[in-house]
Amino acid sequence: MSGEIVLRMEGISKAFPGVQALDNVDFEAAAGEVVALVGENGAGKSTLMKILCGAYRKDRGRIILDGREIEIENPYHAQRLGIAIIYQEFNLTPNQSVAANIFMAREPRSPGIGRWLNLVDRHRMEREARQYLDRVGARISPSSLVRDLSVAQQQMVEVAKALAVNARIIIMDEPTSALGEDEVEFLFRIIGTLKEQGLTVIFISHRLEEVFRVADRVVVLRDGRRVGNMPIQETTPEQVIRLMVGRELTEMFRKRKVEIGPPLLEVRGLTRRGVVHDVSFTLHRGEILGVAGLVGAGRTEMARLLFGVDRKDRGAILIEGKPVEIHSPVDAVAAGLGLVPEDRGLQGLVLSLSVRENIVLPTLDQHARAGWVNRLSVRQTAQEYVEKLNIRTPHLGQQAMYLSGGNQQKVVLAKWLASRPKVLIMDEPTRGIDVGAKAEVHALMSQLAQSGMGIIMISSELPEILGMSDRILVMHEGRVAAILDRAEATQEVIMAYASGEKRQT
Amino acid sequence: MSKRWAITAGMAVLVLAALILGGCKPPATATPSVPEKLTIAWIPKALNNPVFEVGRDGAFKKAEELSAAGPVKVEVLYVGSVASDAAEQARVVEDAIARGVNGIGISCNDPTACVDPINKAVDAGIPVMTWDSDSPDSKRFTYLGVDNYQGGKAAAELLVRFMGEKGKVALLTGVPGAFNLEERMRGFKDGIAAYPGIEIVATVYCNDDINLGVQVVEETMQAHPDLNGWFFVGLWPLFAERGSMPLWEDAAKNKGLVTIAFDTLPVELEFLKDGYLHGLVGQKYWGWGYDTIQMIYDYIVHGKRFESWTDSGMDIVTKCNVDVMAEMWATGDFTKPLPDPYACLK
Amino acid sequence: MGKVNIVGTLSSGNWRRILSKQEFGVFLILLLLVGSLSLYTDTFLTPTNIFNVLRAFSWIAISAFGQCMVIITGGIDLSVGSVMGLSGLVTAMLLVQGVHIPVAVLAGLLVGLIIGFLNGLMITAGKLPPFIATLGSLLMARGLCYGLSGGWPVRDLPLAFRNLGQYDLPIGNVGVPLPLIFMIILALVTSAFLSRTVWGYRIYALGGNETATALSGINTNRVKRMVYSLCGLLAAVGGILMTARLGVAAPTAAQGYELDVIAAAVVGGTSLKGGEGTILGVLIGAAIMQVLRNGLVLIGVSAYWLQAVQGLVIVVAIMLDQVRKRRR
Repeated sequence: MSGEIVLRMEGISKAFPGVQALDNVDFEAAAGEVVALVGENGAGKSTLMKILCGAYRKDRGRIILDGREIEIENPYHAQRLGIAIIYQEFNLTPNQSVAANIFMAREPRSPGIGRWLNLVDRHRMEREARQYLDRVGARISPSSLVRDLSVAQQQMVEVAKALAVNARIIIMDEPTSALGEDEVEFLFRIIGTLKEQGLTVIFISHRLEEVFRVADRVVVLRDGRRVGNMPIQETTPEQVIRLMVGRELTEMFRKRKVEIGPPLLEVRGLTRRGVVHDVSFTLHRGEILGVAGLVGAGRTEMARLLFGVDRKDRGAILIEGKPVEIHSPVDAVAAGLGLVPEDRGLQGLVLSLSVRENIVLPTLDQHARAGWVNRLSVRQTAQEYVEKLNIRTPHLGQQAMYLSGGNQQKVVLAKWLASRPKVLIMDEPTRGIDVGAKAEVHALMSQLAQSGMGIIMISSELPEILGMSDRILVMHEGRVAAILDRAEATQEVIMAYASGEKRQT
Repeated sequence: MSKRWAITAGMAVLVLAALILGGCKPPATATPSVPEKLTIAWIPKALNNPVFEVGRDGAFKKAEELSAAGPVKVEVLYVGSVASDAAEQARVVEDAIARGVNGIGISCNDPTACVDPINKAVDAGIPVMTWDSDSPDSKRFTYLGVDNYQGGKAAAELLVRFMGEKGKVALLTGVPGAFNLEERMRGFKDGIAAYPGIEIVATVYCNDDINLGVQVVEETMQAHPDLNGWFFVGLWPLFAERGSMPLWEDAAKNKGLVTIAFDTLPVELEFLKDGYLHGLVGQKYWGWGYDTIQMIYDYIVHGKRFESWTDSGMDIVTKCNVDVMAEMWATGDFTKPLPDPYACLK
Repeated sequence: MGKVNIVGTLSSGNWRRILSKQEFGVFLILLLLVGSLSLYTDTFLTPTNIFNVLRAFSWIAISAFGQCMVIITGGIDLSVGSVMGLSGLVTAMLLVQGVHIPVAVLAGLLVGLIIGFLNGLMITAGKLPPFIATLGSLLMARGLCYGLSGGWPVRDLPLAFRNLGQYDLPIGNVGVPLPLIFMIILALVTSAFLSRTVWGYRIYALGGNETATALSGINTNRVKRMVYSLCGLLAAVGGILMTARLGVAAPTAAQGYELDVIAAAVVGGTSLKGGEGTILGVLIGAAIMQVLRNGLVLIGVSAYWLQAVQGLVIVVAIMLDQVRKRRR
């Protein structure tokens, strides 16, 4: 099914201060081929792709495109060579139209005097944008504003934008991480279409299940080296995991048996108009309550209401039977709640601060007398949690931005564990982190539940929900569609409730 | 899309219409006969400079005198931009036209920028004269002011008289490029050109800022410890209290450093009395207001016509006449003539 | 376990280590400036001139300490120049009325604190962007200066007050200007405040990531109000010292100084994006600005060219620092 090799990277090496990010890596891709690039965080996937799209310069090695050796100087140059990358965070301007985004920096000029005045020919731009959107099978109006689109639709715009610059190699960095199940299906159809049109797709993902569905070939990186390069038919997920982590993984997604205690958190009729409606549930000591639902079902919004980030219109919150008033995160923390937010970099961590400072941020007052920070106590606490959570950092003063995704997530966890909350709300706790770190986070959650903490875990990965939860709350359009016991829950049942096909009464 | 266009276009039309109608509204009528009450706008360069307040007091004083003498009552409208700003000043003039004043006396921030607003006023039948700072290309009927160039020459003459015909001299100016300051410096330089023994070793500026003025004077004293003379083109550092410029003070008191400064404000008179300054060249601030109001009054009421330039004269102050000048400031009465500044030096 | 120990010792001197790294570049530039000026002129490296420079830069630096904190939180305070002017003027006017010096100085400081607090209030409760809020107070405070003084400078301040700015404290056989000593004390205090107190940690956290900081249960609005209040207070200290030094409070005093203050902070490595900056850096930045201007006057660069040269050197200095920082 794949055509001739269009891209060949040979012996690529790249070092950053203190790290050999890539060590003599080979990579090739053919026309009409979908190549999956997998590896733990920090394995070098992003670095390799950033070299390919001109964001970094390689230290050593050769890049051969269409049989000619090239030197990729900057992202603009890469674009002209037909290489486009779609990042996890989209590069779209939210207040402009879809067409304007697709033609960003290359807007067609009006004919005649309009060319002189640099007038944009909007009709032509929208007409042509329409064609590209059709090619990816997206039913979006070219004149709608990007900010009004769903995440999946924005992704389609990104793909259309790549087609519009005549990209022949499209790199997708974790494209499914922000998508719900059915949107993922749609993305795979798009990838299929691109493949049929003879384009090369490089697909970076942590979700092996997806890799095995969509890719023709899988390339595995570990510690900056290529450790595997197999056609997809000749390998198995177990083999790929083994190559990625260098060890066998057992007991994924398995919560240890924990005695479920008395009610800890009771939520009654939590409502914010237009977002969350009449959500009620009870969380017990030692319990993990999984929250499932499609993207946009109001799960994150529910967590934000609970934590006082957004103002609720109605609803009562009781902790250990006593009503608490939560109007801000300050109140929430005082009441014994902790929130591990959805987006580590944007909401969970102060990336410019050190590991140590991030860990003690919510509990600073405990390390200070009359406002003066006791640095010894800070260091001891940070050291304690770095060891407990096995956070891999060269030293406590390392800025959080230099840690890998999994280690960053562990720092976010550490910061809440240090504040000893009664209830921990975790929004997508393992999104975008590697398999090894994922298992560690899961083990830690078990341990916390065992110590009597109550955990609310929002997740879009059904295996994780099924494996880790004691009970599962399924949300649909801002309402509780069902609360299921682990015994009665299956992927099919959850999806039925999440998609609104079924409703508990 | 077309809807958005329509809305945008509609708004633009509305705004334009408002502008045009608003601009047309007050048809300022020329006054064929003398009204009972004259309102004269007296517009300084800025409201934040004390010398203009002396002028303002002079203007009010004259208005009071004229009103008392009758039959026409005179009212002075004191308006201006807070800081020196040519654009802001143009707006102030337009406001005055809109209010329908009978005459305008203005000190222009910028000679060119002033042309249009002045001509607008004249076209609306409002006579305009300039004082202190001119706009020669406009339709103003006269300019009352000193010739800054001559002022600079007078400063040079003062310097030579006290310092002798040779020595090293430094210049302190406010903002490089300010027209009046540049003219004073040009006059000064031409004045000392006749004395080959005098050398200008430094030209520094202070952004019209007291603090910076103090600093650059001290730094220049540091760079040239053997300096013989200073010409302060304005009085900026002299606003600071004694002790602010130890090097300069020491040189003035003990090493025969001669400093000539522009303006004749009380702070400077104190420095002169105490022997730090040797000579001052000043404009007649009082006259800016006092004389301007009289001239506009004569122009309107008596139909008197003036030459294009009316010399307001200059005050030269040395230790010979400093006491008289100080007395004038103390009493607020600047009507008496100043005694000969060189009388006691012969 | 041995590995853990190494990690431990490394982290102990960590703050200091990272800081010294950050400021190293600008410090080199300062050294370069001082070195070349000492070579090219024989007047630069004299005690009188050095103390003159140090005295003159002390009030800019003091105001820049507050500005630095504000910029670390990702904000900006444009009102510092006006606050310097107004607090000096209020102090001077009270002194002329015969109010006791400590009372008058306290009143001046209070003026700065109040304007700063109002800035904070406009930004947090009023949800105004810092640029707009402080632009408004820049104009308001300057307008108050003109209104209160009627345009005239306030003079004839008592000698004891002027000594705050003019007195040289004899240490050994040199006279150290009093403002310089105030500046050093305030530098130590604010530096400790930023690096050692809970508030300091929160200021850096807020600037690094406001959302994450708020989600950590920190009242970010309170931190902002405090930072702007402190900025106003420090600007008032600077303004009062400047007034004492000059012995006059002009309504136009310190006009446009906000740009010098912001430049000092930024040249010293404070990032306008927030989250990054230190007092030591600001101190060096302020010194660079002052030494540069002083040096150009001493060399005898004409008034007409001075600003152009100044601007060029500042831009080149920041660019060199950026190149050094980037290294990726």
